[in-house]
Amino acid sequence: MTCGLARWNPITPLAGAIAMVLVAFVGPQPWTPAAVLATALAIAFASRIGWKVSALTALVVVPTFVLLVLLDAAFPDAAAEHARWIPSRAGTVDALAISLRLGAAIAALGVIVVGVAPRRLTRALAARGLPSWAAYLVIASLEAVPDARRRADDVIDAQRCRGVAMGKGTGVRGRLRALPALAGPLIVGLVTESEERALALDARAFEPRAKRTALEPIADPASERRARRVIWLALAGVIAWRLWEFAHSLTIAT
Amino acid sequence: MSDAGTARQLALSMRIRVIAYDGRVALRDVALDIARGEIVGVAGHVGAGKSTLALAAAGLLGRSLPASIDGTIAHPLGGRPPAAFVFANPSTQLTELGETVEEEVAVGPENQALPSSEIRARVDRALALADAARLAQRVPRELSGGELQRVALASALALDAPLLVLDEPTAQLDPEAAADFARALRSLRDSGVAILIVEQNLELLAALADRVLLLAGGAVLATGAPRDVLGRSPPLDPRLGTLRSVANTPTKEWRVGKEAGDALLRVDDLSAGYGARVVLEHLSLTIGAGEVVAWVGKNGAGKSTLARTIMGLVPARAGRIGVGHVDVTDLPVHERARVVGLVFQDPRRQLFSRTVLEEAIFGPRTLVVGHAEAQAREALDVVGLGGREREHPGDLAPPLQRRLAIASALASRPKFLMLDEPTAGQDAEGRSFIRAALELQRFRGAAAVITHDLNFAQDACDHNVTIDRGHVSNIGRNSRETDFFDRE
Amino acid sequence: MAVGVLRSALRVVCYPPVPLPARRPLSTLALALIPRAVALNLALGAVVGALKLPVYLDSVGTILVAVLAGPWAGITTGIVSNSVLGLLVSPALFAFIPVAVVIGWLAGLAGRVGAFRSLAGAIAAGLVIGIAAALCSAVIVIALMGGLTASGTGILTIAIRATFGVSIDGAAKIAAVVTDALDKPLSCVLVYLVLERLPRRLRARFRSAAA
Repeated sequence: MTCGLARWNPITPLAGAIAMVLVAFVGPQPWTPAAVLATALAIAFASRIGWKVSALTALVVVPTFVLLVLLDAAFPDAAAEHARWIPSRAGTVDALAISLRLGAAIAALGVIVVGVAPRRLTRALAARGLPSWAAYLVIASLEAVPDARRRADDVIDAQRCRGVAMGKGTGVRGRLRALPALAGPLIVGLVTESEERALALDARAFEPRAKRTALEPIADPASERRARRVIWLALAGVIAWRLWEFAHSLTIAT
Repeated sequence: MSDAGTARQLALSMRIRVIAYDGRVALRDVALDIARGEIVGVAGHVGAGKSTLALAAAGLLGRSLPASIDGTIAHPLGGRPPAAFVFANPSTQLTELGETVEEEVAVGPENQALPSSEIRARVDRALALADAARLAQRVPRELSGGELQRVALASALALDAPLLVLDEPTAQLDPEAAADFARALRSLRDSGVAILIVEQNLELLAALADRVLLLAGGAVLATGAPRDVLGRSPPLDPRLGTLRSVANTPTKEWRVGKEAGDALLRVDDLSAGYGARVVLEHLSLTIGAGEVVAWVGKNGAGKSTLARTIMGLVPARAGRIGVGHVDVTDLPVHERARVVGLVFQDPRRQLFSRTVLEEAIFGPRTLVVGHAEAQAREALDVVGLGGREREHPGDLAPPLQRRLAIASALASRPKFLMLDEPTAGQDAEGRSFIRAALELQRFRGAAAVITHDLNFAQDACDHNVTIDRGHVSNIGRNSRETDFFDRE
Repeated sequence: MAVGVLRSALRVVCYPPVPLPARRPLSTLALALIPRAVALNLALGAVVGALKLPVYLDSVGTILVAVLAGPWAGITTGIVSNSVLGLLVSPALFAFIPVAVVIGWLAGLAGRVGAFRSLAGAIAAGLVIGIAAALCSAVIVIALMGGLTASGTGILTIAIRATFGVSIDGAAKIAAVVTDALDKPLSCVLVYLVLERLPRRLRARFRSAAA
């Protein structure tokens, strides 16, 4: 996937995404989340991952919005003056605000998740201080998932050969009886495999807490480091401003 | 050569009194020195302590694998780590940290915190030494067993350790891949690496090692030149057997089965495959009642696919399969399991019970056949596990687990039984038990063994069926393999 | 730098006198086990999701590691598991990392006190874990999503509010507890059964590695 994001050191867009999420939650509502959402989607489309990110966002936001409106319409508070089953203006606005915040967060993070290869991101973080064992855990887990699925297929095959019935036409009781025959070898096999893999890690001179170098280190040019500093400062500024406003509103109330 | 001179060249100097796991003694009274440019082989029956010896020599005991060691293990040539290790299972010894082969090989030097340029140099050199340079950009998951094992060798070599220890590296490889691997080891020895190799393949060991250590019951039975130690007749350890070139094994006396009769398995014009890929094309095959045949052929030729299709795991796209008088082509797998049995290569995919007996009973009990327990006990006896019914399957050594898997298939008394690579990692004793199981199967129906072990095929099977690119290409006998490096 | 800030923040958050277990570095054995457990969480979760039952069974791996290797390993498994889910499925799942932490921690404590040595103990542990996890996830859902997720639990929340007239907050919490009251005990029972079938030397190995 030709993605402009791939040229950056992954931490920079990550910093940007985290800042955007925090701003969406902390900044003046409801236009901040809307702005963040728009920006995130714009970046996504500019990086040619627009449709994927939009799909991810819509998948969560649309049902949430619909359900929230439904909830408000179906069960109005006693103080409300509108009839049942008709969404109120206040309720819809609330639902919209919540959904926009959620959407902004998912879209911003979605750009990272879709646009940056997880291995690359982990390696970049490892170069900046993420401990070796944490980096190993994330990368090995990503690898282990398709492995486990294949192992599950093998287990299913082996047990079918011994007469365990599965698939269409098997009753609930049959499926329940099949569960230990399937889950058992799968789980026991995974635990036993861990022993071998631990030995293999030892054999490869792996030390969980030691520093590691890389065959092809990910570059971290000074310009990017400066950009990140700017992002953190801007974020700190926004948070400070909102805190000041909040404190100010408290003092006004008293 | 002065003492100081020899001492400088020793990659390993080991004096063990006792090594024990959880109070159980695994190895005792071992003295072993290995110098640069030497290959020392270790042989022994299953459970003799070979893996313990290998792990101890590499300095891997006492970390993830706790053990109490009474003795000294010294690596005079130093190195961090002083030894590199290659395991038997090609895939579980990869760290998963590398997306490509190149990255996987780099993991060792990365752990050693070397600068990038040095890592690059080590990776290139290691790949060249292991003859895996053209695999550099491949994804490990797509490689064959033989290729993976060469990647594992390269990964070990990248550590640049003076000692290389290998524990049954060719156990899961076909003969061609095993010969390639042995060649790579020979050139490593010539370049000055000290090598300790544990192997069940006696021919390989005899051709490769400068001297051999024979272990039995946790102690050293003999050491010396390979032919002296491995080539005795009668063998020093009957559980292990002896070299085939020396052995005088009568091959016909086992045959006490029925005369081959009516066709038990009939495969007519079978086509099958995975998705768009057609693996079997118009394959026809007949196996008579009372027969045991070997299915041989290169990797990828379709032997496993044929077995899975007969079992029903892969649907037949065309053609028919008959077992006895029943056409099973349309039967679902769990119904077909009454008359057809298949034992896979990896027994751990199916073992899950608390005791050996429970495991053997599972098949007949699921299929609801009469006398499940009696059948299970009989099957366990045949494979040599009688008396171990109450043990936990997870506590058995892998070759015994494989025999347990065979027993649990036997217990259901299928008419046609297929075994996929049953002899990998077995010692002579294990092989004779598997042969006994096959003899029993002659009375029940027939059997097919997928195997790379042509010697076993010649001993245990009536004839070989060669499967090549989805067809049956040849039926007949193959000549014996006496010299391991025949092919060179 | 960012990682340093995160670490300091964690230290601040963890200061209150909550009985955190003594911090022991993760052994290589635990490190090798955790990715398999994460894969187990995802694989089981996907398989069971297809069966459309009111259970998830997506924490079995976390609970297993916690019982085998202690609370810190369990917490780590939970964090990694949800992070991988976030990377592979949807960033919305990052929000539920605290829930996984709670599950890993409590399962580890339960393992330490021997709850998983009997079936009844496993079920009891499951109920405790279920309620705690449910409350934690309900709080997250309320704070970030207004009280509803697009799932069975969300529909249940609406139903509860309709029938009992409780507030959205209350309904969300009750709905979560109901779903988790079924899922967590079932997961714990599965772990108990698996532990029974593990060869004893494996269990001992993990215990000595964790201790």
